[in-house]
Amino acid sequence: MALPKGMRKPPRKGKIGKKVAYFKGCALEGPARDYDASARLVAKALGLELDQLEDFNCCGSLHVKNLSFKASLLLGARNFSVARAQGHGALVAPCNGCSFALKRAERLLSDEGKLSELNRLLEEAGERPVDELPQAHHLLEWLYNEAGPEEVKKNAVRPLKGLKVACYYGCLYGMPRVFSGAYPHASKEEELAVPYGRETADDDEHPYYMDALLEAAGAETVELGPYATSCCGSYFSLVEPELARSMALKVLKEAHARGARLLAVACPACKLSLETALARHEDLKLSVVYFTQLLALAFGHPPGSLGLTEEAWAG
Amino acid sequence: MRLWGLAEEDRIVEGKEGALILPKTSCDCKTELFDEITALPLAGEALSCDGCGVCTASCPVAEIITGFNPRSFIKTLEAGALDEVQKTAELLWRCVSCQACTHRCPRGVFVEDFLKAAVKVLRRKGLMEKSPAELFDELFTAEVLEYGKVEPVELIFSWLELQGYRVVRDPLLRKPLPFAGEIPPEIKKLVLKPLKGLRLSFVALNAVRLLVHPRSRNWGRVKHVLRKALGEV
Repeated sequence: MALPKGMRKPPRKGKIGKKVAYFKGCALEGPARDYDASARLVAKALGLELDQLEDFNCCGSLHVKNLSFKASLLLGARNFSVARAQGHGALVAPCNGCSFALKRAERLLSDEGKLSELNRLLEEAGERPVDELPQAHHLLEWLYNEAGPEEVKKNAVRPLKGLKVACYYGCLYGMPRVFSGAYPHASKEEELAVPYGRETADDDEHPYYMDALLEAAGAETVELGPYATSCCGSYFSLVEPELARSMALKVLKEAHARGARLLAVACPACKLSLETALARHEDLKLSVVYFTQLLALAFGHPPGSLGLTEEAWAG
Repeated sequence: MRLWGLAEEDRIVEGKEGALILPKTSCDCKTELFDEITALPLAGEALSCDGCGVCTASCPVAEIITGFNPRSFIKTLEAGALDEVQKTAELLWRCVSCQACTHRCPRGVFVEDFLKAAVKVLRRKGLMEKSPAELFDELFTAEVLEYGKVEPVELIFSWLELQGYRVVRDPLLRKPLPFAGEIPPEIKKLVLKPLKGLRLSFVALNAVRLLVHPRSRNWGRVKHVLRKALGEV
């Protein structure tokens, strides 16, 4: 459930920075090109700057870490090294898998001695050692904090009136809190007394950044309840299709039952899994889109330029 | 005999009084198996598991697959009874790594990392067969190791091929042709979707990527170090 409006925190401007390193990730260079295109348009319209990391490597997602702890940290460290070489203190990743892997690497490398150990490996590989650990964030966290609903509202020249959208965050957006820094926003206590809490992170159990941005763009958001963060099955749609389909269907059925026409996501792997399940359940009459596509639409960009087909959004 | 100052008859639990629960004592005889798992990175936190079951309550796979139960996995591997471990080994690989268990554990156990560490040890000891999930991890990692980056379409097709689907590749560059062959209909639909909307620029750019696999700079040297790291857990 998205946190009710009265309990939401205002954006923390200036905490991440208006110009950040953009860790595009493998999917956005390939099949999720529409996510990339719309993310750039949205950032530009909001007066923010995504400085693309030209020479990144794969974040390792979940797969490399499943095989080797050390190798997963090496992949993270090399990406941090590239970001530092481009002079950045913050990285933004548009994919849940990437943002998870980068946040994980950031947290684990901050343990004593870990960074110098990995720096030795980087040097052995002929790469620049990391002088200072940059912070990793999800694109959604950055857009909420550095622009926020007010800026979105100002730029929404074509508000998404009458569009019923269910915001699906996915599991790795805020989980686990030890890496993402997500904390309960509604708590009355000093919020960052939470271990590993990060000011710019979303609420730990009731994320609302996407809801807030799309509401500001004029859309009507639909409550997904616990399914907003429950896993869609991700790459298990290839590995164990039956299991992934059952998981994705829970999300899709909830969105459908609540009257949503669109399911907005912030991750290409979620889109893959949800669409694979949808392909067998066309009765659900849902389209899966990236939240940035909807924002760019509200900012006046024609759907064609965003990779949105007529059927996806017009309904 | 009196326990905590209560007479025997007072210890009979009545619903309205609330249950008197004896403190759980973990078995002191931690098995060699458990020692080996908890020695792996991040898995050691499992030693402070209280057995509260929040992991299982949060687990989306447990909702679907009977017997998939992270709490019971931890406790079973701790006790080490071989027949129970065998049952665990059959189910374990279906963990989708969603991190809900780790997120909610009140004791700070990295439950997901523990389960993956358990897979590693059980495989090493020959108590578990290679699972599709491990096969996928290996395929993904091999592509990262080779190029530094992953080409998702190439990855999906290589996976389907590995699963016995008939994938047609062009004879020259050995790249998959998504419109031919026999692949699951939903995946074909997804891959061909951009064609339907006539998003030619997207299609063209993706085609180029399929021809020339994206690669990170200086990967030759990084690959060497990465391969060594992969061999060291």
